[in-house]
Amino acid sequence: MDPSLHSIQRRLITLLTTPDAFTADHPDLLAVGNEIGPDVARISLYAKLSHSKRIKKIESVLTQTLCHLGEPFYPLTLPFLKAYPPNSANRYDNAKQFFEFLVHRWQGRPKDRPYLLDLARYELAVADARTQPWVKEPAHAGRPDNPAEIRRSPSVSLIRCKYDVRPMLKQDDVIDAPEKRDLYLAIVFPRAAQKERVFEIGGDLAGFLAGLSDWRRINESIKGLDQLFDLELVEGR
Amino acid sequence: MMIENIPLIGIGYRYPLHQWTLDHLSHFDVLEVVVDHYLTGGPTYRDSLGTLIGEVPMTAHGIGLSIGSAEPMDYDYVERIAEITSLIGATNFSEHVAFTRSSGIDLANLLPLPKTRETLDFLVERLREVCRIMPVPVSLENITYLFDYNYGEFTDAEFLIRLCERTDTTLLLDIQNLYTNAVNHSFDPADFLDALPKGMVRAVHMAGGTEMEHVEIDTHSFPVRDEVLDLLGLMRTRQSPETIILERDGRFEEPDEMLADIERIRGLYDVEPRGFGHGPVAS
Repeated sequence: MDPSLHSIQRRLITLLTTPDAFTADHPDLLAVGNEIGPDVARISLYAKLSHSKRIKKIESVLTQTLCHLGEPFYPLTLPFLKAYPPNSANRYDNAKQFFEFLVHRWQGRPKDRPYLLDLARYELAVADARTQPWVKEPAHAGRPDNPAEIRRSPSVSLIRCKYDVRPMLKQDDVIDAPEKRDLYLAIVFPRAAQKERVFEIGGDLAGFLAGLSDWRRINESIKGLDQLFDLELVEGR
Repeated sequence: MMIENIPLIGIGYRYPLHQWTLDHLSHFDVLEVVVDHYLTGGPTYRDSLGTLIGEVPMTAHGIGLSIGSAEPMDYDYVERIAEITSLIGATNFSEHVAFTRSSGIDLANLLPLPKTRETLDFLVERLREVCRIMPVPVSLENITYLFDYNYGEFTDAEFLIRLCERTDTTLLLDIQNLYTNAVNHSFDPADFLDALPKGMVRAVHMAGGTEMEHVEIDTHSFPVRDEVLDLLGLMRTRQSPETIILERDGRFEEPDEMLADIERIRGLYDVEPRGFGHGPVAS
């Protein structure tokens, strides 16, 4: 592999994914411009366009979150870019990066509108559930021919919230302050559905389902289940 | 004398326009499927597209290969998109002569490559591997570039011609991209078209861009400019593509603009729809 090609690609892409590229006379931008060509203004414009495209992807996933965040959103995008350069073309991945940025910046607790992180968590879970496979596919099968193993469908997202943000996602209602209470939600995208289905579940069940994110032997799983639901289980063949 | 194909004329399939596409399927001879959308779109996307597989011819188009990245190629990704290409019954696979990622950063936007002998040799080796894995012929698309490298050794046309000849691939000529580059870098697009050997263009993309900060931007979100349609007419004197795809990546609230553009393209070729899509399809 040609080292010079790799080197210029690395320098160029690193520059284009930092806010430094937005400033036409930044030394790093000028240095790359001198190396590859004189169109420094064009390099800067390209960086802004790429950043704008990425932000639109994030907006498409965290729509309500950013609507409630309001004006502070756009000034946050530059420190976000600096802290989290893009590593995926995927909308969900970029939105998740922005969520992680918010968690870190607010240290888990936004100063005002403390429900914002739960709202983002909810929108991310919906986006994740929407794109996960509904039927078992070889890449996710684990041991496909082993009937003694079960798991939770990847198209079920589980989240824990401190605020009930569900009413905020209904577009015909304007909710400013959601109810504060601990709750667990299972978000499912049934096959052929256009919209998610959301179930509030108990903490114990959420814990049980969370433990089934990977294939597990049924008898190990059921050991927890009978205690959870006070069931008398008879082992089958 | 070149015998002219009557091209299949259609659009790039986009999930937000799924129902609209179904409702107007009789207008389209072909649909171009972005394989990366299939890969990441989930069951809803796949089920929707599934209603169209077998109803109308399809071609496969990639946006995530980053063929020009000077890093080890992701063979797992190439094999997955090869599977999708087969699954949808595509007759051709196309990708961009560009790179989008390096050193763990994915810009998700197409970046130009320096048009040097070194780059050419690197791309030839990379493309031979892609062609080995792909179950259908491969076409390479010309991209727009807001900036270029000042140490390039070839013109755009020379570089693409050498690349296609050495890898036995063809060109997916994006005429909007050609127009954009000609405006932004002050060259005559007719010179580019004249340089292409007859028969090199297997497929065509048409789209509409916009101007921003005195620069032409290939947003692919507006009606096709008259100048771009004129270039299609000029191309037609030397090339006989199999497909002409109208691309749209935004402003989905105005889909009927696309119908108007399809009619303009049909008017230039004086061809009626093939009738593959027999009216609305149940979704």
